Amino acid sequence: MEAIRFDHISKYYPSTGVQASDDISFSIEEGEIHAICGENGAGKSTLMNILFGLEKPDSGSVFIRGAEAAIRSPSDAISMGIGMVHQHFMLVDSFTAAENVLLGIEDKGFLNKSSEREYVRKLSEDAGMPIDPDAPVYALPVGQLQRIEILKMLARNVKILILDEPTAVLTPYEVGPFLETLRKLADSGHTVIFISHKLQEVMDAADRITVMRQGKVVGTKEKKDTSIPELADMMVGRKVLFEVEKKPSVPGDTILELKDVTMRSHRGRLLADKVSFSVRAGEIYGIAGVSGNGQEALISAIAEDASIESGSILLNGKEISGHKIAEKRALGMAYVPEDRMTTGLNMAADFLDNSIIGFQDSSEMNKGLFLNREHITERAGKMIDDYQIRGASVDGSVSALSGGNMQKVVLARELSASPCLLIVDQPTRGLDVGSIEFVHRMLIRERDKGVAILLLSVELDEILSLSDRVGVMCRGVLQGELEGSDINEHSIAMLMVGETEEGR
Amino acid sequence: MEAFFNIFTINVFESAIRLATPVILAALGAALCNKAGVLNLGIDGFMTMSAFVALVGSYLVRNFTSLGQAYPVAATYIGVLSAAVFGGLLGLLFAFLKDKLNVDLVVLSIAINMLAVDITVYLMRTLFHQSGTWSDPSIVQLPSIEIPLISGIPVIGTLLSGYNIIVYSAWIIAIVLVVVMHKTRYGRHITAVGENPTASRSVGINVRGVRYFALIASGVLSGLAGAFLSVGHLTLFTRDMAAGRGWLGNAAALFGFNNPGGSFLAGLFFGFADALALRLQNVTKIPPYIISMMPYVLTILILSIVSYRTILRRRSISQ
Repeated sequence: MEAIRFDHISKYYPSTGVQASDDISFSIEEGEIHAICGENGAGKSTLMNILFGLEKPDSGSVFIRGAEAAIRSPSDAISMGIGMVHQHFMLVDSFTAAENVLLGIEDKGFLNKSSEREYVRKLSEDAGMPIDPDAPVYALPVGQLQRIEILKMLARNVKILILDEPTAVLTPYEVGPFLETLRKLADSGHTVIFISHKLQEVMDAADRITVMRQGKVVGTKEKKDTSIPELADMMVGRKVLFEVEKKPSVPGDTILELKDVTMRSHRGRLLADKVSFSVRAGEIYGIAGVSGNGQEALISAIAEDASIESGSILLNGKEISGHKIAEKRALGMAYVPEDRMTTGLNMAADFLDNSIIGFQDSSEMNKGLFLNREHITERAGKMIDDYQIRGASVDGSVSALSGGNMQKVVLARELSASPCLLIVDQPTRGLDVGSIEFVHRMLIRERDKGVAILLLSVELDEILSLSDRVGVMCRGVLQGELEGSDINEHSIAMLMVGETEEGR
Repeated sequence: MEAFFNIFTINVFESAIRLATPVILAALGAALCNKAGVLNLGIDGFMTMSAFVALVGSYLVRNFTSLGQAYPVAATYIGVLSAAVFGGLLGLLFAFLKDKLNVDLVVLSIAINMLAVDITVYLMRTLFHQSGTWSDPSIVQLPSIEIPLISGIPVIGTLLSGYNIIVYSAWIIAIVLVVVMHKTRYGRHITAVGENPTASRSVGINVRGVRYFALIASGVLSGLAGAFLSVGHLTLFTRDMAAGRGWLGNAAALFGFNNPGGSFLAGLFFGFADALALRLQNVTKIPPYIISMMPYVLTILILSIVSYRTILRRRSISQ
């Protein structure tokens, strides 16, 4: 039975000149998990926003269970049994889980907290995703927040659930259980539509897969009839290199060296315990580990200004722990932080300003008391050309760029001063296949130029395909180091869960 | 030493409750706005203007209508009502400017506060040819009401009875707000809108409606507070009549963590400080200027404590 049919949907955004939906027709069956894949900007979100009543199509119509539906607002969609979980959670932090689930559909008259609590507890257990109804949302991990978002929709008797990149916020270890939850929902009669560009999880979870590219539907495939390479081809319209080619590294002098670095949180919890490793010129040193095992703390001490309890951090032989970030940068450190939207870039500033953040005091950018506008503009224009930053203009804003192009802006800026040490934290998180490939090529290119690269990533594939040496963190300890042919999925995974090399 | 204990008489408590009323009303309005995420720092200005409106309203009804001439007290009640309506309209204006033109509420508040002092003085001069204060002997003060039964009880009767209608209204409004905020969906929606308007909108809550409601309600409450100053406590209008009581209300709201109950108690506390200051002026030799600074010094102190606690709380969450 057909749950939804899109019939010749088109949507054009005159302000940006983008044809976001271009004559889209396909259908989604009741009770299936239907994945919608495509690169960033392929039109997946626009289509889902149309289905959820957030956007109006220019032409075409949506049929729900065979009947043409006029969905003018999210409330319309919900009353027709369509719910959406957005990529950015829509929760009230100070409220409890139960209060969030029931927000907007509370009983009239006086509230009865204990019956609310029981209702949500039962709902969550029936759906196979138990939550503590009394837990305040600000204290919960992301995986739980996502459950609350889904329960919010289930509490509204939604039968068709749209999930916008639900796994983007999850750690790799939360993804598996999450996909199982989706299966349970489908088994209980819900139709699940999930947007993703991670092909592995699409293949793991979906019954059918629709691939979109540049606003068009490339095709809909049964899972059993397709494969990751085929889907990838459909997505980008050309062959993708999953393994970036790279020559063996030619390491030079030690650039970054950590000696017995120990760090504690404000409350005295041990974050890093006598961590020692070094990164040499011309190599990529990958740090793997489940997030929250001390990598964040180490990065904050190496690249930012967090203080360490004991040990030392040397850059080209000079102690840099506790030094100002500007001093570290002057010594040749470049840093691509984990979150490009908040730390990597200033969303409120234009491209020009973003292109000089961190270099604004250098003599190159200044002429007397004032910024050298002419030189900065020329330099920014060159960045856009060199890095093929699509959609960017020198005086345009960066907030409208796609994730991949934002990351290119950060990389272009950080590499502009020819650093000797480049620290990249989750460099491809949330990027589409094409952008990942670009970033990976860029990192290899810099390595071959002799830059020492420290790579942090929770994506095992990324660690595997880029690193010349790998250090694995577990509970604040550098559990082990791997090199050359010893680097494989199994060996890293064992270290990640705390097994030692000897115990293998 | 004896003088020190002498100041804690029952009369001090009674006058504290009285003096606290405008601060309590302002605090309830401010708390409501803070909860709904629409900072209203214009309450002090609202109060001054409403105080003027209340007195002028009473005067006009008293002298130019047959109702006012037959029932002088009715004129005063109508004055109070007009001040409440006027305050509500100011709130509506704030909400409209914020909603339609996206005017910054802080800038708007500063403008209103500056305007309030000068426009009332200007009107006082042009209409009544007075510069510092204006009063008319025909206007009757808002009468005190004895509550039957309670007024007969010693001490408690003195403390809880014998106030005017605005004082009782403040108490009732506080209780209603406590119930609404903690026990009904509307209260929960107000908090949700203030904390995350996008999330609230996504579940079908009328975010605009909530903001309009909060600003208009705070306007009505400031209107009552202003009327208390000009026709409830005295029967005159002076330049800058609110004299910082609106700001004290804003401070009390923060001190009470923007909960109506907490704001009520904080307002009462400030009122008590005010009454104590008056009393100290009579019984000690401390210079009166120092004493009248007391509530404000207290405000700074309390706000520092409140924000420090917030910092501590954030820190414990982020760990």
